[in-house]
Amino acid sequence: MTNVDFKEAPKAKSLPERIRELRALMAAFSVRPIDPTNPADARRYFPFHKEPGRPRGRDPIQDLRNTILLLPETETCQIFSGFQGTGKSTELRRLSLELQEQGFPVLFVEGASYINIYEPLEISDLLLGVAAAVGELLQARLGKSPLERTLGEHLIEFFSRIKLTQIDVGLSAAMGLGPHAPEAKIDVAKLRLELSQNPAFKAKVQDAFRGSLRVFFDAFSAFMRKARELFGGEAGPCPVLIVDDLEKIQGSGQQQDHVQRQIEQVFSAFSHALKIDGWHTIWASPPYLPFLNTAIAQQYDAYVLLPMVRLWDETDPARKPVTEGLSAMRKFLRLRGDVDSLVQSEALLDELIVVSSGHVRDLCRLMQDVLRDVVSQDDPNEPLGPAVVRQIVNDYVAGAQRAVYTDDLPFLRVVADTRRAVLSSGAHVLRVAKLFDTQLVMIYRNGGEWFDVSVPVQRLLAAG
Amino acid sequence: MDPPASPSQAAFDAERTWRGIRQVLDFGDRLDFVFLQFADPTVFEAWRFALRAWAREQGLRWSEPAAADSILDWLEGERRRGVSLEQSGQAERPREVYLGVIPQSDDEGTLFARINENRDNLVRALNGTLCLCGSGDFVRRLAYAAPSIWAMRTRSFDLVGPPPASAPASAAATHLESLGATLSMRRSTVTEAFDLDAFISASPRDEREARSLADRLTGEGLSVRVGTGGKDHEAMERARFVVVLLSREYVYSKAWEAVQNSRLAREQPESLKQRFVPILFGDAAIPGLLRDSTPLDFRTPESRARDTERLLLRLRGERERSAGPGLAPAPPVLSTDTGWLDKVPLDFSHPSVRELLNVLISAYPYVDSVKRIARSAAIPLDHIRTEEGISTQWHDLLEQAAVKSRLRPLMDILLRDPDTEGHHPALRRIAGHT
Repeated sequence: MTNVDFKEAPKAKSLPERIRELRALMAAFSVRPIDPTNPADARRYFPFHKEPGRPRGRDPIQDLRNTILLLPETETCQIFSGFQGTGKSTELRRLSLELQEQGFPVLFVEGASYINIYEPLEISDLLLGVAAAVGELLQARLGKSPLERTLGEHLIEFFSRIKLTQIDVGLSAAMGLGPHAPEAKIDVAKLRLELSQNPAFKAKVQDAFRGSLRVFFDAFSAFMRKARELFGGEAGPCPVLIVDDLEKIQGSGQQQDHVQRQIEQVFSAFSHALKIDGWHTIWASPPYLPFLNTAIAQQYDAYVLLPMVRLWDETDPARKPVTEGLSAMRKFLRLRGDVDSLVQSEALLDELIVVSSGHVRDLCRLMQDVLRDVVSQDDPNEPLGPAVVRQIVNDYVAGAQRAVYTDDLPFLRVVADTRRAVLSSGAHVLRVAKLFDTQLVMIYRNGGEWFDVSVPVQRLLAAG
Repeated sequence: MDPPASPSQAAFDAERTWRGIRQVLDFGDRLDFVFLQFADPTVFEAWRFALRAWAREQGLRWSEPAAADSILDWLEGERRRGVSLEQSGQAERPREVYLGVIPQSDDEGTLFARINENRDNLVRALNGTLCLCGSGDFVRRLAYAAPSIWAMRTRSFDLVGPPPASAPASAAATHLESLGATLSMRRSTVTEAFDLDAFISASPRDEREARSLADRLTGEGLSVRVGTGGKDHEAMERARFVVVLLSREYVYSKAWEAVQNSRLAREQPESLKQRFVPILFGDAAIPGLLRDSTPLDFRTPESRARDTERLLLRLRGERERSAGPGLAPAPPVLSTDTGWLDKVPLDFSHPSVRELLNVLISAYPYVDSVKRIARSAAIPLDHIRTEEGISTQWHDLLEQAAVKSRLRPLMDILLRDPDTEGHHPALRRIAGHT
C-alpha cells in the first residue's frame, strides 16, 4: 500500500457546496440494485470479474448465460445464489439485458412482490406467484394489442382450472373472474397483493393443492405454454424467466427453521416443476441451500454462487490483505464518488475495506458512517484521521459481534481454522444456515469456493 | 444459547454514544435502522428523553407508540402516514425519528417476525431513523429473529450508562426526574415531559366510540391512549391533552372520578382550560369543573365530522381557522342518484360496486384498516371474515354496510380519510359526486 500522492491539496469548498456533495455521496452509498438499462444507474456498476486476479471469481453470469446460449431452443433450469446485499439482483438484471440483446425474450420477476418470503413456501404458492407475475408482466407488454384479450382468456382458463373462486370468492370477484364481466381485463395485481401480503390466503392456496398437485402442475404447464406462444412465439429460442428475491426467503422468529426446511424441499423435491416446458428459468436462492441438501446443485443445469470479494487468501493463516481485492474495492468506492476526500490516507480506506470482509453492502454502510463523521466536523472539508476511522471500524466490529452466541463459537473457530464449513451432524444444519443469514460466515472464491468467518468474528476469536 | 459478555459500564463513553446516535438521526439516506440495547430501564428512559428533547430542538418530528399501543399498530400508522406523504408528492421529506421499545416477553418473537416481514414496506414509507430498543441481549435476539432488519442495520448502541452532560438541559431535568428527583422538580417538568398527544377519558359504555376516535387520531400520527377506569391518573398527566367524552353516563363513571382526582385538577386547575377538551357526545351536560373549556360537538354526524377536524388541529397545536362559531360544515359529498348504494342485498355485479371493491382493496390492503373503517362507520365486525383475504374482508364489509343501511355513511368516512387522499377522486366518481 502506498500513500504517495494519495491526496492532492483540495480546494476548500463552501459549506453548502460541501454538504451537497456529502449528501450525494450518502445517496450513492445506499444499497439498491442497479438497473443496467438506465445509463445513469449503469455507471455505478463495477465489474469485479474484470479486475486483475478476479477477486470475486469469474463473471458470475457467464455460466448462466452460456447454458442458455448453448441450448437456445431447449428449456433449461438454473440456480443463482448468494448473500443479501452482494449484488445478485444487479447481476441478474445485467444477464436479462444481455440475453435480450442476443434476441431472447426475457421476463424479470421481482419474487418478493408475488411471494410472501417470510412464511413457509410451498411449490403451489411459488408457482401461482410465477403465473401471476407472468400474467401481469405480459399484460403490460401486450398493452392494448388484440393478444391482450387472448392472454385474458388464458388467465381465466388457468384460474378456472385451479378453482381460484373456491379458494377466495372475494379475491376472484375483485380480479374480475366472476360471470358478470368476463370481457374485462383480469386484475392480476390483486392476486399479487394477496400472495405477497396475506399469510391466510397463502395458507389457503397451500391447503387447496396439497392433495392435488398434479391438477395444479397441469394447469400451470398449460398456462405457461400459452404464455410462451404469446411472448416468444411457437418457434425460435425459448423465452427466459428470471425469478429474483427467493434468496430472501428466510422466515423470522419461530418460523425460521420451518421456512428453511420448506425452501429446501421446494428446490430438491420439485426441481421438475421448476423446470418449465418451453422456458429457460433462472431462480435466485439462499446461499445456505447446499448445506441443507448437498445434492441440490446436481439437480439443475447450473448452480452459480456470487461470493464476497476476496480480501485475503484461503491458505494464509495471517489473512494478509491481498492487493487485488483491496485495489478492486477501492475502485468500487471511487466509482461512487470522491471517497479520497473523506479520509486522510489510502491506508485508512483500506482499513474500512478489510473490516467489511469483502461484503459490498457492509462497505457502503461503513462509508455512510464515515460521511456522518465528516459532516459533523466543524469543517466538513477536512478528511478524517486515523483515530476517527479506527473508531468507526471498532464500532462496526462491536456491532457485528453483538450477533454472536457463544454456542456458535466452536463451529466458527473450525471455519476460521479450516476455511471450510463442514457439519459433523445434520442436527445443526439450520443453525449454521443462520450464521450465513447473519453474515458471520462468508463464502469466497478463487478457483473453488471456500469459507471464512467475517472480520468481526475473527477478532472475537482472536480475543479468546 | 449464551451471549458473550456485554461491554462494562466503566468502558462506556456516553459522549461518543450520544454523538453517534445524533449523527444517524441527523444525517442519513432514506430509512436508517438503529438498535438501542440497555440493561437498566431508568437509564434508557433518560436516553429517550434526551434524544427526544434534542430531536425537538432540531425540528425533527419524533414519533413513538403511546403506552396503550402495540408497536405493530404504531408502525402501521406511521407506514400509512408515510405512504400518504409520498402520494402527496412532497419534493423533499424532512427526516423523522421513530422510536419503539420491544419488550422482552413471550410476544417478542412474533413482534420481530412482523417487523422483519414489513421491512421493505417500512423502507418505502418511512423517512429518517427507526430506533428499535430492547433490554438485555436485545441486538443478538433481533439479529437472530429478524435477519432482514439486521442485514439493513445502520448502527447499534449499548446504553450502559446515562446520557452525557451535554444532552439538552430539559432532558437533563427529565433525566434527574427519572432517577428519582424531588416532587417539586417533577411538578416543574410535568408540562414538558408529555409522551402522549392525547388521553381520551370515557365511560365504559362509550369505550367503543372512544376507541374509534383514538383510531382516527393515531391514524393521523398522534399518540393516544383511552381510559375508562379510575386508575388512569399517570397516563392523564403524561398527555398533552385530555379529551373527555361527555355522555349522560360519563359523570357517574370512574373515569370522571379519575379526572376529578387527578393532580392536574387538584394542583393545576388553571391548566384545565388549556389541556382538557370536552366533547359533547349523546345527551350530556358540561360539569362545573370543565365549564371554562369550550366543548366540541359530536352529537350529529355533521358536527362530528367538523369538530373532528377541529380536534385534530388543536391536538397538533395548530390554530383553528376562524369560520364563524366553528369550521364551516364540509360540503356534502354524495349525490342522490346512486341507487345501488341503497339496494339490499348489495349487487356485486354492478360496475360501481366492483370498482368500489377494487379501490378499497388498493387503498386499504391491511386487516387493521378494515377494522378501523368498520368501527368508524359503526358496522359490526361479526359478519366480516377477518381471518380471510383482504378482498373477502372488504366484500363482507360492503355487504354488511348495505344490510345495515350504512353504505352512504361509509362512503362519507372514506372520502374524509386523509390517509387515502389519492383514492378520493375514484371514490367520488363511484359515489356519483361531481
